[in-house]
Amino acid sequence: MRNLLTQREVENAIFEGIYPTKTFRCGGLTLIFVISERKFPKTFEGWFDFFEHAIFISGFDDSRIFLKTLPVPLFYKLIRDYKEFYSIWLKSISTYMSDIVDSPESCTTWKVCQKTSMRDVIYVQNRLNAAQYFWVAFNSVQDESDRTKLISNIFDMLKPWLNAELWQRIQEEESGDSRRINRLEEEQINAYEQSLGTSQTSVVDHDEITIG
Amino acid sequence: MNILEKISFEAQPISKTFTPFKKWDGSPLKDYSVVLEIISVGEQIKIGRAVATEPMTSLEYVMKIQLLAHALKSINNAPIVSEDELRDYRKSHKTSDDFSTHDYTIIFFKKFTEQVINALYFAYEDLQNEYASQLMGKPLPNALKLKKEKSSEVNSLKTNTEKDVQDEKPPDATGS
Repeated sequence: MRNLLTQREVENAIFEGIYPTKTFRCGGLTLIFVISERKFPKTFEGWFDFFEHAIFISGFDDSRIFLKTLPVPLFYKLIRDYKEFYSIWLKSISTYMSDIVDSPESCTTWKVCQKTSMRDVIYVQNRLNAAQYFWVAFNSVQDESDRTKLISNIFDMLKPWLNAELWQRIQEEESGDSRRINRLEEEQINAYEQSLGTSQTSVVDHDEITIG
Repeated sequence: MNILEKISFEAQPISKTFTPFKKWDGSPLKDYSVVLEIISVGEQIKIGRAVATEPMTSLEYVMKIQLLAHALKSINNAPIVSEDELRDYRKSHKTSDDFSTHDYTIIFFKKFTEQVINALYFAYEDLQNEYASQLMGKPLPNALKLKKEKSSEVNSLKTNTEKDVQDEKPPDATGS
């Protein structure tokens, strides 16, 4: 089994509402797992109802008929495989989300969502799916961070106007510090260049001797 | 089309013949062979519904009976309940036509002692473990096989009750 789904699959779930699927062979049949947003059931019968929305079988319109005839151990294996697929799905969302949020498609969609209604843009069946939920949360946190940076910058800009004398002193100290640092760096660079010049001279001298 | 046939589980037997009482020396049940089949999801759901109202004290025992009523297909190569036998029972007990083979099988199993039920149940667990380990492609962890060890304890508990069991058992049910 793959460790992660692709970034495109996660993007499809966010922007198109298309859930990822996993196809696998079971004897002579092809089964398709589809991510379902329903909670994991706690009972055996609950899992049977759950798979009605999460498993599709090629050649069968009603997956319940198929599932009813499966041997119980095979059904438990399906539950285990589905849980594994779901954990990969969640892992993929958390892995790719920071990249997706920075993408132009995501930035545009988020702006549109803010200017209009989220319901018109990304809602699927009147609710957010898990990927969309994380996407909104990520964007909200990022917006909050941007807002904090903006406030910090505005405060920095206002400092000279609030107390000009204090600001000037701070600036002087800061520039004094930086000048000291620059002086130290210059000294180090000079020393290094000097040593480099010396070694170059010795190499040239040595070559001259050899050639002669 | 039978979906199970379509899936075609090669090398993964769904039914198997067992002689669960073979270690019961001196018992009339010693040479009895039974065919057990792994139950389906639909049957498991039926069992779940049937035992839903059972009190905790008898839940395990009733669940075993329900499971065996679905899983046990034949005894000594004969069906557990024949059509004639079922018809006679309906007539003598004046039951409705809804009284099914399964209902009769439940009555049949309730006549057994717990040792017999356990022996059959452990045979079923063997079959299920074998199937599951083939399905997973590796042997099952020991934690899941603990119950198997208890079967030996059950064998050592073998007492005169077997005679009673034989007396209780409907003669036609064994096919003999």
